[in-house]
Amino acid sequence: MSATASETPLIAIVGNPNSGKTTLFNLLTGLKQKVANYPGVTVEKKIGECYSQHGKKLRLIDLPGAYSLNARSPDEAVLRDVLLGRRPETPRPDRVVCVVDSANIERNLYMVSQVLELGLPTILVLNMADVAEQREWRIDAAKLSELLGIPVVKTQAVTGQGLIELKLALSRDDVPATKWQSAVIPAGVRAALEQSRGPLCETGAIHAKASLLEPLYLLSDHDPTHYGLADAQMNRVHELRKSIDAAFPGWEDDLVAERYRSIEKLCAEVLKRPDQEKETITTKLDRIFLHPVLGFLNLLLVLGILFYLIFRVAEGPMGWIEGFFGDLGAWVETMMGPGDLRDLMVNGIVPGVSGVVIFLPQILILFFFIGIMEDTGYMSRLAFIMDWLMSKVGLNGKSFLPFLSSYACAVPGVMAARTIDSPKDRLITILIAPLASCSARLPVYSLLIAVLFPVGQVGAWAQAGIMLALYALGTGGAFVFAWIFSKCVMKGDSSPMILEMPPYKRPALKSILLLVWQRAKAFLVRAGTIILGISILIWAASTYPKTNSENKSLQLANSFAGQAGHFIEPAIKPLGYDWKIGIGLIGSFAAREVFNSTMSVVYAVESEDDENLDPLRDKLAAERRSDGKPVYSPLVCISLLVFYVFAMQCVSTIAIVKRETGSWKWALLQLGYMTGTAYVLSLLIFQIGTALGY
Amino acid sequence: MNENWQSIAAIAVVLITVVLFAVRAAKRRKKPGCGGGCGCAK
Repeated sequence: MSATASETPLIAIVGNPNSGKTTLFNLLTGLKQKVANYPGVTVEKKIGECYSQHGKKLRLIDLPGAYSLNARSPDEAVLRDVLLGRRPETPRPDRVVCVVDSANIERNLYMVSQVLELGLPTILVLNMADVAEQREWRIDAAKLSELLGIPVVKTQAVTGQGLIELKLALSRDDVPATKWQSAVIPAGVRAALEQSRGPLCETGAIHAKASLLEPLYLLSDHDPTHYGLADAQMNRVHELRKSIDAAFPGWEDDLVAERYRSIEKLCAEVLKRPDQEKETITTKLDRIFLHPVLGFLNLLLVLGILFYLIFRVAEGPMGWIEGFFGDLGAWVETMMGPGDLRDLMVNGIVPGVSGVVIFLPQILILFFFIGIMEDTGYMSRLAFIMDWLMSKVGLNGKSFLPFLSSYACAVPGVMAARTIDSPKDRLITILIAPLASCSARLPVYSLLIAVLFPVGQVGAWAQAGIMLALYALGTGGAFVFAWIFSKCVMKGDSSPMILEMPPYKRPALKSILLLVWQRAKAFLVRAGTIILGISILIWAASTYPKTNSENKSLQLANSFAGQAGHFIEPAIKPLGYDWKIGIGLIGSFAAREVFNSTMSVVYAVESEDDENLDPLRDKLAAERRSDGKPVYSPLVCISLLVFYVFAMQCVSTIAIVKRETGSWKWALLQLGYMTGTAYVLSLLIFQIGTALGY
Repeated sequence: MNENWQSIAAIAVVLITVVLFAVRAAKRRKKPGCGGGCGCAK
């Protein structure tokens, strides 16, 4: 279903991964964009608005990056289905902007040629024109436009060069139809595809008026999820594919070869390359970044700098946020008379929310760095270096990207494992993904590191070193468990990974800031909803049932939270934790960062001095046992940090693992092995440390 | 607001929070996932 002429035209932006498609989309739409998911799959759907050069409103949809319309993953299937108008919630686009990496024009034209065959009005964008020019490649855009019969625009999305020309092309109502001739399909295969049309129509997999391309893409679909197709339809597709495979062995490869032959002919007319390829900056830098030893050392250096900045640069803004919440608590205290509502606000909501929001600057720095690494092309090198390590523990290289996503959040990481073909590798990746230290652990790590090393006692480099060690511990743990699962629990073959190395480029600051803004918004929305709600509940659990005692410590001990803390105390005492830490541990099984909120509320509720608005780290550092020794001794802090590295404390992740594996068995195994490891390691650290006199 | 009214208001806030969490949990049973709540900006 296409949008009618009276509606705002919908323009799809498509292209290969790393072609600069999303940078261009961000440049055109700015903040006027919405991010959602395509129903039924975990593929991000980005829709935005912009205005043409004539002031006409246009809707833009940033479709997932893909190399071909012959889908091999849910992302590629979404692209194909939207362009064919097969997704009911997304109208078929009115026009298509095909973004091409000029320095990889031949490979990028493969999908362009498939898109052109769909018959949608198309504009071709030759992006990263500067990279091609550095290599002394001369692309004759006018000739290409003439041969394809469509507008061709050269751009440089990072600097915005060519944007006006692109907007002018988008403003045209009369984008001409292409002159591109479809790649030749051998007569036998064509006849078989024609014959498959009837049975596919009968099952409802395609409609009666579908072009030949629909059965073609359906029969060459290797996407494991097959959204929108019932089992009966898929069975029919499999039967038809088997019969074509038997009659024409290698027919898919023949079609690919035929298409590339047509593209080669086209490129011969529009592309001039030097006789000898010039050495690029990418080749020079890759000698260092992809070196087996230097590359790994460089990775450690980059992460060291990242964590240093997280502590050093975030210090100031964190102080401002701390000051703001301190003033807010004091203001509420002066504005309201004594009572439960004031207590809820001063000792529940304000410390609970501030205990998490204070870490916003650190999280933003983390995502800013991730954006820089992605945008410069360094992330692919990171994947390459890690692939070597992953193969040593029996993991597929494809596991790296889901694992990497898990450093932000395990939920999309677990979902991203759908792209792994091998069931064994997919399951192992899902099981180890939550061991990557997600952003929810960052506030807990930062708080405990600040207690372990109070401000002024050690430099930011030492704090960064501890943080790096914690991330390395989680990563190392993931590799160890991957090896154990691979060798002992699940046996089977791994499949190889093909990784594209995009050229290094200057990062597009606007795109990165947009990503950081989206993360900041999500973090603040969470603090203002979930964390706020949990803070209220923790306050209630720490306040009720009320006793007649004026002693607040006794009141807390008798509260629901206190009773729960005392109930689990025998189990956590050998780890060095008291019952109040137990309350924090129980709370953080909902989400890890809730530990900070819980401890903020618990110590605020217990405080005899209502005007004691000291930061949480100072309260923890000052906490004493009955014998006068600190509760948060260095050994307890390290034991707690290790517990948080390994423990499975995220309800969302447990739910998603159950859904993705289709069974509670694996979700419970994950909960058991991670939390069991956390318990045993924390126990060993505390007991051995105590025995050694620490 | 006197202490009695503050006690009633505080309990009301807690009960509303419990109801909102219950509704949210019920909705998530139909559509699991983080719903953007994990900070993944979905």
